[in-house]
Amino acid sequence: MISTRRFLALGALTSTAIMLAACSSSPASNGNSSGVVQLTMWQQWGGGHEEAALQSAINQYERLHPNIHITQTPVTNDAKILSAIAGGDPPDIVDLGTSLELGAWATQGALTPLNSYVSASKLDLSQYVPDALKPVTVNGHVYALPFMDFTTGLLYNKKLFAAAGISQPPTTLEQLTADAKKLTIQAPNGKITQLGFDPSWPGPDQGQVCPLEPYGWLFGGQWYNSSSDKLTPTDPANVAALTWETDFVKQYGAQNIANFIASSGAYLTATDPFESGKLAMVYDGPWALAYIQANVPSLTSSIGVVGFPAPAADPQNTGTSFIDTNPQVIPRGAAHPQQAFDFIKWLTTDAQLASSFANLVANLPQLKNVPSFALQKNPGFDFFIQNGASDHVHVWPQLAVSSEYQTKLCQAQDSALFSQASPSQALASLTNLTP
Amino acid sequence: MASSTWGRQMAHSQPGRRGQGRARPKGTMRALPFLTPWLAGVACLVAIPLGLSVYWSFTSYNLLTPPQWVGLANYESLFHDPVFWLSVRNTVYIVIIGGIAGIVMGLGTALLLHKPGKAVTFYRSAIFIPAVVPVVSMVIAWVWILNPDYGLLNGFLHTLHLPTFGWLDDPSTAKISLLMIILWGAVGQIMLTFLAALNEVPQDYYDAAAVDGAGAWQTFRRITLPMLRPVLLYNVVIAVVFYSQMFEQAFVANPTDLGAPVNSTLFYSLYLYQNAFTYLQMGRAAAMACLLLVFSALAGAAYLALNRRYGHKAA
Repeated sequence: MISTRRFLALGALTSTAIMLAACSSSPASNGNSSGVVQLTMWQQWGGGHEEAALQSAINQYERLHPNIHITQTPVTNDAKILSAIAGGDPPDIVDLGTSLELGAWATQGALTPLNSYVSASKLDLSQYVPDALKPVTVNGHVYALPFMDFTTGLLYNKKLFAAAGISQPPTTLEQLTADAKKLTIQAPNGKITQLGFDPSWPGPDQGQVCPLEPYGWLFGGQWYNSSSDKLTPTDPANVAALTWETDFVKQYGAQNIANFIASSGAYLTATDPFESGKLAMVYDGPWALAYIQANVPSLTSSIGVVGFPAPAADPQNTGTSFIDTNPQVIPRGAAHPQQAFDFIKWLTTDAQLASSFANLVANLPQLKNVPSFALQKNPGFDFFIQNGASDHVHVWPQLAVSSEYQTKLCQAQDSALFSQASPSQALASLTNLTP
Repeated sequence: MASSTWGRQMAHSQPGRRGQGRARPKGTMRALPFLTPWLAGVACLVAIPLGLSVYWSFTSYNLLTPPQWVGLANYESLFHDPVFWLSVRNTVYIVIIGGIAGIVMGLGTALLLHKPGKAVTFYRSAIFIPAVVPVVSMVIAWVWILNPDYGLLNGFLHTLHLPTFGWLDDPSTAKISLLMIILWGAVGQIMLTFLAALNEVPQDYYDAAAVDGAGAWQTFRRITLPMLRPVLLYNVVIAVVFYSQMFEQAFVANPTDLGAPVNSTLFYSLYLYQNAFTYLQMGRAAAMACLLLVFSALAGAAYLALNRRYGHKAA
């Protein structure tokens, strides 16, 4: 017969043990007992045809390297990636959808610097499009290999243009403003049923850059002065850009435009404002062409692409765009950095793969020389390729505060659009940020 | 807030049993091993994180590299940050308006539904039912109902030839719209606390007032309201704590653009989260958490002081 005291002691021990067991974590099993190295990859292509393209590239790599097995998972939440890195159990490879977080993550030690891997494997960086390397370089160190670049341009719906009696896409910003007016159908109560152009669509809500960023460059502004290491949100050209945006929106009412967007379907679906034929022009990238082809094939032939028009006073800035890439990074603490590097090196330098991948997802090849592919014959897509190689493309500064700067820039933009602050006041609110 | 609320209510209303359960040293020693897991839990999940938070608030820390001592720099940068003050203003707004609206509506419905009857039972249930809807699904459903062009509510207003609104998409109405969603779910619970308290007011007082010729307003002002003081005070504190930590409703309404439209729903906790997990400024986020802790402690102290003074039924 067990004594009361013993029973109590046993009970206490058991409960403590259960609690401790619940607190402890079991080590991650990346077992390679069979000689096969298991690599994990978190990717931000998401699902659908883009994920399928990546999976087929992985399959190809696994056939070439039978000792490597790669499991890819879509993880679009940056906070989740970061907690995995901070928790010491990150995936081996992360494919980031943009370089927005790269500056912060690199300066804060979340990523493995790749310089030593690059030199050890004699990777020739000059084979990449030069502008593709800028977004992955922080303080002179390469933190990622670029994969599939993207830029933006003015996509316009020729059918809506014809219906409004406009024969040519705009060549100046003033003309764009005037054309947009003709292309907008607004009821006396303010409700918009067709909109010529929305300067703030698609923004960060849709995973895209803050539109004010390229508008600043369009007006000849800069967001960062590298020689003085200062952020320059109040550059007079940036203020002029936000003033243009604010004046544009005022014509229709910021709230009416917001209601119009809120009542449209999700971005890059058949019901998104541009694909559903309710928005005549959009400042967007080559992927939009692929989604239109997939969602609304009948619209494909009606879409034209030109460089985004600049103010008449700055014609040289026509075609201004940001350029970015899908940085392939190796998180700090990854279990198999060398194997991970070998994979991303192959992924980003195989010319045939670059061609076929670009063709599938309608992004721009990150390599200077690739075999020709079908999509290049599409004049709209060809514009993006040509423009991506021009000096009209700019790169958002890669700093520790890059992400915060961009988020707050867009908040400042919105406060000006909704008349809560003047454009110069709104941008002045960013001056307390330091790089 | 529901479960803790009720737990606390019950604890207060337990009749005192002083003397019976007086702890003896032997019993304490025997209880200790059983308490260990929970004590360890409190240490791991409350005491240590709290201490670390306070320490991190004086450091520059990004989760990935060791924290660097920066003194008061995080607090200074917050005080110079216009977005921080905007989040404070948004939060103060929702604490005041939400607190008052919730109590007025909860008390109002409780007074209307205090009398027994079949219809009363139906309305009580109808008002309480939204409290069982999970917050996330509730907000998602309301986002659709409040769509400016195709939403049910604007459609309804339009048929009645009433003005329509941008609701959650208009910076001038977004906070009120969010509050509308929250109150839809919360008024039932507040009503319940008042109903319980109303049932405890002795009928004799009302009879005596009637004999003295008191009108409805006088009866309410001189009898009902003073008798409801403890519950009123309790609801005020719960509202202050709840709204000053406001997070999930605003987060679910705009998951990809926190605080949208135009930062009008960027509440204190949301900006804290953004600093921590979007900007990786754990030090600044910890400083915000410490300031919130100080505020909550002050609110708690105010509650205790007020409770000592007004917490008993005035009769």
